[in-house]
Order: sequence, then C-alpha cells, then structure tokens
Amino acid sequence: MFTAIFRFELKYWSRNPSVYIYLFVFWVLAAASMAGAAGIFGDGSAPEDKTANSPMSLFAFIVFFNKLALFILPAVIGNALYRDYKSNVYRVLYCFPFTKRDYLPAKFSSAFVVVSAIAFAAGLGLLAGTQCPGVNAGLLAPFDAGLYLQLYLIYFIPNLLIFSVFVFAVVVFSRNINTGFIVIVLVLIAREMVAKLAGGMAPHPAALLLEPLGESATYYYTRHWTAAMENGQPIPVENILIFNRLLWLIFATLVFLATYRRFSFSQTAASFSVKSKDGTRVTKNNFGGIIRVALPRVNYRFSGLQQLQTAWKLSNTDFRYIVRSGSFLSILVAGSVFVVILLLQMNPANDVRVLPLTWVMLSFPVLFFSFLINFMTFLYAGILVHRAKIAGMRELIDVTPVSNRALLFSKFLALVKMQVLLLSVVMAAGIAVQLSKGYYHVEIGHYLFDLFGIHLIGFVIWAFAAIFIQTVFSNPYLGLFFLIMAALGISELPQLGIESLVFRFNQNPENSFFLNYSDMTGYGYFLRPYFIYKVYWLLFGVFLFAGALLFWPRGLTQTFKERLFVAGKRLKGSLALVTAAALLLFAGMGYGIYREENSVHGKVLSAGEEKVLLAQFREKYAAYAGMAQPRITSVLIRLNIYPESNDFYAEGEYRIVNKSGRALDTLLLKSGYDEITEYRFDQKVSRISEDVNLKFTVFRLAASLMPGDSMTLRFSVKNKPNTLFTQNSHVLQNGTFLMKDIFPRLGYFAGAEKNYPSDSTARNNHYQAIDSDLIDFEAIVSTSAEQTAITPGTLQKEWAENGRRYFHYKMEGKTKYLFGFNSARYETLTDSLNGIELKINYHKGHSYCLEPMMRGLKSSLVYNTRFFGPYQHKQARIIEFPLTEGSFGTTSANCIPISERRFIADTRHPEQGDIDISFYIAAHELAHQWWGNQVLPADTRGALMLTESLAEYISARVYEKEYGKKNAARFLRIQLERYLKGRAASGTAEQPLMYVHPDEQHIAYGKGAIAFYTLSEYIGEERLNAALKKYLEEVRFQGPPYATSLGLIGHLRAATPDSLQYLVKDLFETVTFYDNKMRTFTTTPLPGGRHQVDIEFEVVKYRLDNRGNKTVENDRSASDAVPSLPLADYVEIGIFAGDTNLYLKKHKISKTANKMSVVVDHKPDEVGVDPFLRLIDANPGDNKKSIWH
Amino acid sequence: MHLNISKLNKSYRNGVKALDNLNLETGSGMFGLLGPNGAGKSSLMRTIATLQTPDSGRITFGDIDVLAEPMRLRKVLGYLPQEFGVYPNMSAEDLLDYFATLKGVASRSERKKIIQEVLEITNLWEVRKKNVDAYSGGMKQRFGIAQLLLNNPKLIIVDEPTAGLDPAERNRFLNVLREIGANNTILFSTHIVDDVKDLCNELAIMNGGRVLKHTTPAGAAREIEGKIWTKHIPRESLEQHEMTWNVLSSRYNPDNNLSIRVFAGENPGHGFEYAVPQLEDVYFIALKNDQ
Repeated sequence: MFTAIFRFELKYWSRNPSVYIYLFVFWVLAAASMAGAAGIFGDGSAPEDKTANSPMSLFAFIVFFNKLALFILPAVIGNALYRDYKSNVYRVLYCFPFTKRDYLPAKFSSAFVVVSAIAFAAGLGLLAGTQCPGVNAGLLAPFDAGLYLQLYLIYFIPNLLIFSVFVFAVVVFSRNINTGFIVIVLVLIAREMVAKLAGGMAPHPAALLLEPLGESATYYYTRHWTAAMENGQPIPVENILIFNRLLWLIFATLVFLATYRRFSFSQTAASFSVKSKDGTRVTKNNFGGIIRVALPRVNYRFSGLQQLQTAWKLSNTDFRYIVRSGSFLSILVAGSVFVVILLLQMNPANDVRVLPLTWVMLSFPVLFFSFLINFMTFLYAGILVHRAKIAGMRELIDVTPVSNRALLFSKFLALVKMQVLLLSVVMAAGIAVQLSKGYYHVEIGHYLFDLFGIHLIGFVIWAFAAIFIQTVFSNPYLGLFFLIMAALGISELPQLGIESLVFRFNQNPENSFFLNYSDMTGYGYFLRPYFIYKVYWLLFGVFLFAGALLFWPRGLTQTFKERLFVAGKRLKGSLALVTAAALLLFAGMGYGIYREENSVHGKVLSAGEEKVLLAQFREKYAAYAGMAQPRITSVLIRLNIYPESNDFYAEGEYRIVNKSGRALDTLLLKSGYDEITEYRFDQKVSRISEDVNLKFTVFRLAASLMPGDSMTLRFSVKNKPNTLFTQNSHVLQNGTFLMKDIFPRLGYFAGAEKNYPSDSTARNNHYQAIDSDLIDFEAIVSTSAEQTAITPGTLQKEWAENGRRYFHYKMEGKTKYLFGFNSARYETLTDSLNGIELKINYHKGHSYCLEPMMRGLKSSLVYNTRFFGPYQHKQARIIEFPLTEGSFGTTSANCIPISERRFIADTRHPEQGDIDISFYIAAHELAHQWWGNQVLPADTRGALMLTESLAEYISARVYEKEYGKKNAARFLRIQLERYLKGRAASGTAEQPLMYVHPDEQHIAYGKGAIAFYTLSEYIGEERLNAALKKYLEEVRFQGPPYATSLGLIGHLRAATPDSLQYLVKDLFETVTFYDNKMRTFTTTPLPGGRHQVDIEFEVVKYRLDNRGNKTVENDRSASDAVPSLPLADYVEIGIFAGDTNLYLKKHKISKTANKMSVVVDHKPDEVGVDPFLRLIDANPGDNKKSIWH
Repeated sequence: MHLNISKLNKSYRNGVKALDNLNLETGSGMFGLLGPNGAGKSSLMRTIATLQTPDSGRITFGDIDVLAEPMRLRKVLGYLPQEFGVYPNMSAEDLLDYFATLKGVASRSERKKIIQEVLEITNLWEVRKKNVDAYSGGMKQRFGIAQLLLNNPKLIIVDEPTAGLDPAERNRFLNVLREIGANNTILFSTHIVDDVKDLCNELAIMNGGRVLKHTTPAGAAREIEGKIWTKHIPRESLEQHEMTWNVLSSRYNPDNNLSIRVFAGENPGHGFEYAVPQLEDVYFIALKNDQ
C-alpha cells in the first residue's frame, strides 16, 4: 500500500505545474547568482579575490537557497496532507483499507522527494553558473563533487528534513497550510535570536548547538578566516556542528513519531487537548410553526462615500480574523520578544552600549521588522484574497451588491491595519525597553512619525503589490513565493547594473536611510526624496490595485483567458479612468525623476562609473605624477555657511612657495568634487588641460615661479546647487561639519600605491597632505544667528552682521593642512587643567557623556604630559557633529570633532564591563596632539603605527588607570577581535604593523594597540614610554623629511633586552601568530589547604609571509610535535579562582608541548596559557580551561 | 415582477452544453424548477444570479437587464447555492452583520434590527452566538435563508435547498420560503417532486439544458387526468411491460413485487387500474418525451 500511495503522490506532483515553476526558479536563480559571483556581469561586478565556488562561497549560497526553500515547504509538504482535507477526499479516503503506517510515511516521503528535487535544482543551477560562457575563469575553482555532497548532506537536506517534519506536524494538527508558513517564520525568528546570542566573541556553546540551520556554528569557526583561507580551506566540520545536526535530527524524528502517534483517520483534526470534552445532549424543536415574514424597512446605500465606509467596516471583519488567529498571535509574541532582546542586547560583545534614545529604539528593529511585516503582508494578502473561496462562501458574497472595489479595498485595509498593529509592537517594545533601562525621555511624536509617517508608506505600497499578485495568482502559495522572490530580487537589481530608483520598486533613496537619523538634524535632506519616491511608487500601487480590480474573480472560477477577457470588459468608466490616470501620473513622474536623477547636479555616479573615471584619469594624466609643485604655506578662508538652504560660499587665499629648487611653470589643481570652484591668479596663466569629472586642471604660469619665490592663489568655492534629491553640500540645518576637501589642492592626487618608509621621496610629504608642510591658518566663518561656528585656531573676534554671526579664528603657531568647520546650536561645558582650557560643544540634551568625556581629556592630558612632554595649544575643544556625517572622532589642531554617536553612549555601568567609549575617545583623540601633531609621520606605509597604534596604546593605559586592569583587558580583547575580524574581511595579503597601509585600520588600531601594550607589559610601561619620548623628542615637528615607523622601531629595539628582542620582530616587523592552547589540568589537594596543579599546554608560533603563506621551521624530530617556529619565548601562565589570580607568571617556553606543576593556596577553577592574550593568538578561545567545561 | 429568460446558451470547456437555447418566463410567487441531476438547473440559477455569464441570450427581471447591469439585480437578489461554507469561528450574528454590510445596510442600528428579524424568522435567534460552521445541516440551511433575506430581495434563487434535511427541517424550511414567496419571485430548484407540488405556483421541468415543460402543478395534473394507470407485477415481467407500455416508474412493494405506473390515453387493460395522477408522472413523462 505504501508504494501505491507513494507512486500516486509522485504522479500527482509530476502533473502539478507549481513544482516545475519552483524547480525552474531555483535553478535559474542559483545559476545567475553563481555566474554573477564569477563576474559574468563584467569587471568589478564581483569581488576580485573571492573564488566564486570556493567552499565558503558555496556554503553561503547553499545556506541562502536553503532558507529560500523553507518557504516552499508548506506548499509542498503541507499540501500533501491538506489536499485531502480541502477536497473533502479525506472523508472517503480515511475509510479505505490502508493504515496510517502506509498513509503518513508515503505522503511525507513523496512530498520530501519533491522538495529534495527542488533543492538539487539549486545545486545544479550553481554548477551551471560556473559553466556559463562569459564568466571569469580566474574566479573559479575546479568542480568538486565532494564539496557539493558535503554541503547537501550536512546542511541542505537535513535542514529541509527537519523543517519538513515541523511543517508536516503542524499541518496534521491544524489542517491549515498557513500555519506551516507561520511555523517556518517562528523557527527562523528563534534562529535569529539564537544566532544573535551565538554571534558574540565567546558565544555559549549551547547557542551554537541550538541554532537549527547549523549555520552559526560554521560561521563561528570561520569568522577569522582570511580571503585566502576561504578560497582554499574546506568547511570545518567541528564536533559541535555534528552534535547540532544530530540534536535537530533526533528532535525532528521525535516530532514525527509524536505526530504519527496522534494522527488518526478521523473527521476532526488531531489535537493535543488539555480539557476533556464534556458533551451535552442536544435536541431541537422538531415541530416548526408558521411565522409571519415582515422584514423591517431599512435603507440600502451604495454611494461612493458609503462604499468607503463599507470597505472600512468589512475590513474590521478581516482584521479581526487575522488578529484572532493563533498564527498571528504567535508571530506577534515572537516578534515582540525578539525586538526586546534585540534592543536590550544591542551587540555589547564588540561595540559599546548606546543609550536607549528613541531613534535608537527605532533603528535597531527596522530590518527585522521590515522582513516580518512584508512577509505577513504577502501571506495574509493571499489568505484574505482567497479566504472566501476556501471557506466556500464566495458565491454568497459574489451575489451581494457590494462593489468589487469596496470588497477588495476592505482586504487592503485589513492588511494595512495589520501592518499598523505590527509597527505598534516596535513602539511598545521600544518604550518598554526605554523605561526598563531607566530612560524616561520617550519621544512619542518621533515614534509615531517614524513608524507611521515614514515606514508605513513602504509597507502600504507592498500591500498594494501583494493584493495584485495574490489576485492574479490563483494559487496563494505560488503568489507568496513569487512575492518573496520579487522582494529579494529587487534588492539585488543594482548588482545587475540597474541603479536608478525609477526602476527599483519601492526601494529607498539611501540604503541606510533609516539608520541616518540624528538628534541634531533629524532626518535631514533625505526625507524629501524619500517621500517623492514613495509617492511615485504609491501611484504604481494604485495602478496595481486597479489592475487587481480588473482581474478580481467574481463568480465562478474562470480560466486565465476568460479573466483577461473579463478584465478587458471591466476596463471602462471610472476604473479605466483611475487606471489610466495612475499609470500616466506614474510614468510622468518616473520620467521626471529619471531626468532629475541624471541632471547635471543631481546625477550620482555608481561605484563602477567612478572606478572607470579614475582609471581613465590615471591613464591620461600619468605624466603629471610626481611633478614638483609649489607648497602651500598659509591659508586664509572666508566661509559663509547657510544652514537654512544647505549651502555655503567660501573665498580663500593660499600663499604658495616654490620649495623645489627648480623653476616651476605648471600648476596642478584639484578642486572639490561636489563644489564649483573658481581660481584667481595674481599673474597671467593659461589653462592647458582639464578633467571635468575629477575636477583636475593644469595651468601654465606665464612667468615661472623661481625657487624660493612665492605667489598667491585666490579662489572662490560654492557647493553645486542642491537638487530635489541630492544635497550637494554637507551643510545641514543644524550640525554642519565641512571638511577640508571642499577646497582646492595642489598636485597629482591619484598616486595609487603607498610607498615603504625606505623611499626617501615619500618622506617629503607628511601623511595627511601632499602639497604642504606646516602652515599658518586663519579663517572667518559666518553662520546663521542662532548657531556657533567653530574651526581650528583661537577665537579673535565674534560679531553679528546682517542677522548672521561671524567668527574670526587664527591659529597661533603652525599646523597641518587639516581643518574642519562646524556650525550648530551648541551648548558648552568648560573646564581647565594646568592653564589649558578644555571645552565641549554639544547638542542640547546630549549631556549624558560629558562628564566621562571631560575626564578622558584630563586623564589623557595628564598622562601624555607626564610621559611625552607639553601640550602645544592653549585649548582643547571637543565639538559634536551629527552621526549622519560619521561615527568617528578626529583631531585637527586644537579642535576635536567627535560624532554624536559617542555622546549617547551608555557609560553608566563601567563596572559591568561596558566600555566607557566617551572617556576613551576623548583620551584617544587628545593623544594625537603628541602622536600625529607633534610627531608628523611621512606619507608612507607604517604612518598609522605612529599615530593610531600609539594613541590606542596610550588610551588603553589611561583607561586602565581610570577603570582598572580588568576593564582594560576587555578593551584589548575587543582590539584583538577587531584585528582578527578585520584581516578576515580584507582580501589583500597582510602587512606587518610597521608597514601598515592607511586602509588597514584593523592593523593600525587593533593589532597596534596590542603590540605596544604587550611590549609595555614585557619591558615595563615606564621603559617603553621613555623610549617613545626619546623618539618623540628626536622628531618633534620635524619635516620634511618626515618621521617613519622605522625610526621608532630602532628606539624600541634599543629599549628591549636581548631576551625579548623577538617580541619587536613578532609584533612590529612581521605577521606572527601564536596558537596557544590549554590542554588539560588536574588539581591535587595538598595538606594545609594548598593545591598542586598539573598543567599541560601547547605553545605554537608561526609567521605569514607577504603572500599569506604560513612559515614554520620545525627542527625537532619528535613526531608528536606540532609545526612551529623555534621557541625561546616568555609566555604567561595563570591560575585563577573566580576573579582572583592565584598564580600569574611568565615562563620561558622552548617547545610546543609543555607540562608544568604549580602549587597554589586555594583550589583553582580556571587555568590559562597566556590567559590575558598578550600575544597575538589566532584562536583566542582555547587559551583557558575551567573546571566547568 | 417577471423574470424573463430568452435564448440562453452556455457551453463548458469540457464540451457539455449546460444551457441550450433556454427560454423561460415567470411571474411572482414560487417557481419550481424540476429536473434530474445534471439537467442544467444550477447553471441556469448561477447565470441568473450573475455568477457566470452565458455565451449568449438575455435575462431580464422587471426592468433590469441582468447581464448588462448585474449590480442592479444583486441589490434585489437573494441567492442560496446548493452548497456553501462560511468563515470559520464566526457567530451567526457576526456573519449576518458582515453580509448586511455587503448588502448595503449602512446604519448599525438598522443592521441590528434586520438581523434580529431574519434570525427570528429562521428560528436561529437562540443560537445566534454560536459559530455557524458548527451548525447542523438544517440550521446552516436556515442561516442561508437568513443571509438571503437581509437585502429584502425581490428575486430569490434557491438551489436544491431541501436536500439532506430531515422532515421537520424540510417542512419548516418550505414554510419560510412560502411565506417569503407571497410577494416575491422565488426560483426554486429541486429534484424532489413533492417540494413543488404544494408550494409552487408554476413549475418547469428541465433536462439537458432545455425547458421540457412549463406548467402549473394543478394544470399538469389536469392534463394527464385519466391517463395514468398502475399495476402490480412480479419483478421478472418488468422488461416485458416496458416493451409493451410506456412505463413511467416502477417501485418495489414490501412483497418484492413491483408497482408500475404507465402513461396511456385509455385504460390499457391487462390488469391496469386507474391511478390518481401525480406531479411525478408529469415529470417522468416530460423526461421520457425528451429521450
């Protein structure tokens, strides 16, 4: 009997067109994705150093298609059973002489065969993608059948099996396919929660074990993988992954068995009932009388307005149906729980806690909720559209005089009401989290505007589309699948070269739009384009809705051809008018938008276009590279900022001097990219050549500039006019932060490669300017009356004129060509230390972090002055700028602009291990006054070692003095993670710290902080700082030639004893890793309460050459030894009981496998080799072992 | 008001001609549509009820051109299909409120009023809070009548409403229908001849998409008065009788003999006796003539 049912089912599926659609879509999608990753869409469309079919890449693809395939499970697996209920066949079928032993397994396995076929279509598609003509063979590895097999056997098939069982069970019990979808979403939400918990630096093993797709475990073990490793290494199959798979498969088996046991061939759905059913005997009056029918007189109304009211009234019924269903409630509850977890957690593992400001509460759940709301919209659009048909009530409804538009609009309204309810969850969760965290500045108005004024529009547009699709598709599950695919596909359009938003349904003008709110400027300039695009797509939505009305089936089910015919007949009167009007307005607006997008000042170049332009430029102007230029020696700027209109106008004056020793007759000028610049020379010049795209102009001087001579270059700069969509200046309504890049610069700027410190010509420039040494700087800045303008220098004078405020600043002493201009309505906090004025300019209300920030300035000032000498300015001013302009802090002369983000950190609980980022960033930026402003690194590799690495090291030390060793250790642990993650993400072969490239922030900051800190731990803080001071005094304000990392290395070597010289080599001069590992330890109680601890541990060290290859020199013959560089290294061994160090000492290690015995005073619970990760360890997780695991 | 159907044609994709140049005219009161399964009754009723469009033909109800202005008809139409379901987990009261809204009763108090009335008419008032999907067959059918009454319809179409009802339910149902039919046009299809006999003013017998006979119950009986004859025969001789006479129906008796009824202008002799004509005979004669 099993085979008979099984065969019958397969035959059914083989005749079902939806199966072929799924197969086709998965195949095509997989092939296109793979071909895309392999560069079929041309140069630059695929990452250059990622093999498209490497193990990790294939893994990512498979996991993606795996998740996608989950959404067809209810339609296939669920349908296998549901079909029998729906068609009422079950009443007959269940009387047939087969048992559930045949029926259930046959139903399940046949449907699973279909699902597996769809899964394999994805794999075949991927394979086909690699074979596509036009792909870049360099991005492809040879076909590896074993890899595909592995991915299918470990992930795809087991996951499908597990989820199929869940869906199967749910459909058996609910007799409702939609519940199957809900269960998929619920499990995925649960997965997200677990993945969130598993995503930290040291996730609990349970989280990796409980994640149902097995994906987190794999991502966890490969999180530090570099591009080379991803391309070459097989997917790690760790024990935890195997346990994960076993656990879920066993669970699924149990669920299947339970389902099987509870299933019975009965008329009502199998259920787990808590209440016992008490029946009462019912009899009815079997002798009916004659009644007089006199219907009361009531009014029947069908006016246009009445239809709207009717739609509203009807939508309540549908809405109540949605809200009352267990499915929806479970999603609501799961969604709320997830949002609360999200908001409470906010990634404390690798960043800092942010105060629960209203916009923060709004920005975190956006992605997740967009997914959830869209999915629910797609699903319920199908349910509502097909509901009457499924219930068998359609004929009753269709003969009522309700208009199609009222009826369909009621379903749309019900969807929107559902969306509003789901959005309210974000609000409720946000407010609850705010209150629970003791934050009471709840901005209800902002919640309402953001959720219902901004977000809702996008969802409403989707609701229109969903209603249309679900009306046209007579199979709601196919409709749902189509909508999901469409939503995914639309977000990928830019990858196919379709970048214009005119063609990208319902996409936002800026991807990060929702994260770009600032208390200082609100939503800023993006709000207008957002609304314009939304109106545009709303028109399209109306058009789709009109289309849905045309195709809305009224009466008996018709063929598609008949429906087309009916649609044609319906296209008349007001409906035709609305359809045409919506389409015309949509098209007209689209045309207008497209023109605006491509207008002179509105056009935004795509990344690809920019790349091409730069390449063309390099080719054309290569001859000018390295051409000697005069140097800027003084700068005078008159800048007017107009916050109201987001414009600025500036006039400037450069004194330029020929320091080259040769007569110069050519000036190379590069002006601001988004600005309109005009030059005025005080002598005759001719324009030789100009690149309008990159704003590069070559001038010939009528009279050459002789060595030592100077001239004045005057210019005016204004921003390109702002357009409807594009703001061409960084002037904001409040919180403007203009940077030096608006002004013209001298010289060829497109030098591709950074030179090594040994290059003597590279030492002629410092790392932040190619056209100047230290300069004189003076600026007069004006802004609106209620704002304050700030730029480096000392305020000379402040006055009001024409309803505007003017500020005159002048730099005392010389500074780098590095300045910004801030303008906002600022509040100030002023303090002083040792005669130096310390001031924080902040946005009103952002006073949460002022105290730690000020403390950071002071502590850093004290530390740096003590170890490295005096501070060179009379003030230090912190200036807040909006987070839309970045989340960084920076230093220019006596100004320290710091992002708003650092003003809203939650620094209230440093004792819980929260990093006090406000304190830290102030300390870090002030340290740059010595390391960056007094020591001026040359424009070579390694420059950032002298600035960022040292500033990080110093702030770690300052932090440690303020918050203790433990918190500093946490800070350094984050730096190690930053380094390991960063190198995994960056594709290029890694450079040692002393040659760090300016782009390699993970090395400059992450590794740099550890390198200096570790060296100071080994040779002593005072000793290292003395060496640093010696170096600083040697190069203070020096240049050209400017300082390089090589000079500092010399001082470090001089300060380091012979036995530790290897540290300088490991940390600074090479890319060296330890892989230290605690093997085992045993404790034996000794008389007198003491304990003997026997420890076994491993110390391994290796180095990467500049291609990323591992080098080890294994000179031992012992067969058990792990490959390692020769060791004569000092490694800390620590023994702990709770927070107490029972033992912490550096031991000289000379072999990889080590054993050791230590006697301590108390019973230890944890032992570690290099427990505080002083050494750069590739696997930081296995250095400690506790008695608990 | 008169329902006028002329030259109605409808073929389905499987080649079945459901309506074959059908003509029919009714006055007010109850109109019974008799016919075997598959005769085209439901197709006809669905077509009148605006649920499907004919390939050709014309339907008018009073001054309403049904095919051109379906919405106008829907305002005065009450329709109860042969089979229907309802949204699960909704009470009769809520469902009727939904239908009343669909039917244009805008005022909440008026909805309440009319819902109460139709619930009382159909004797569902006591169970108005119960979910309709849990109703018994008879209650559900009465609910069907209740929803149909909400727009005070002038034309009521009920498709085999009594199938599956117990005698008491059936009786009650027909009474209600009759009560409504006093002032309206009711088109009522059935294959149970007795349903039509006592209730209908007029009736039509349909098969193969055509109207075979259009008459009144009394007129039909008159027409065949003295032409129906009956006889008890053993089972074995049925074939022989069928060859000789126009046998309309045959029925087993408790003694395993058969009672047959034949149609003949005069007494055929051979033991046939006079029989009081029944509507059923008219029905069978019409069907037979069509073969």
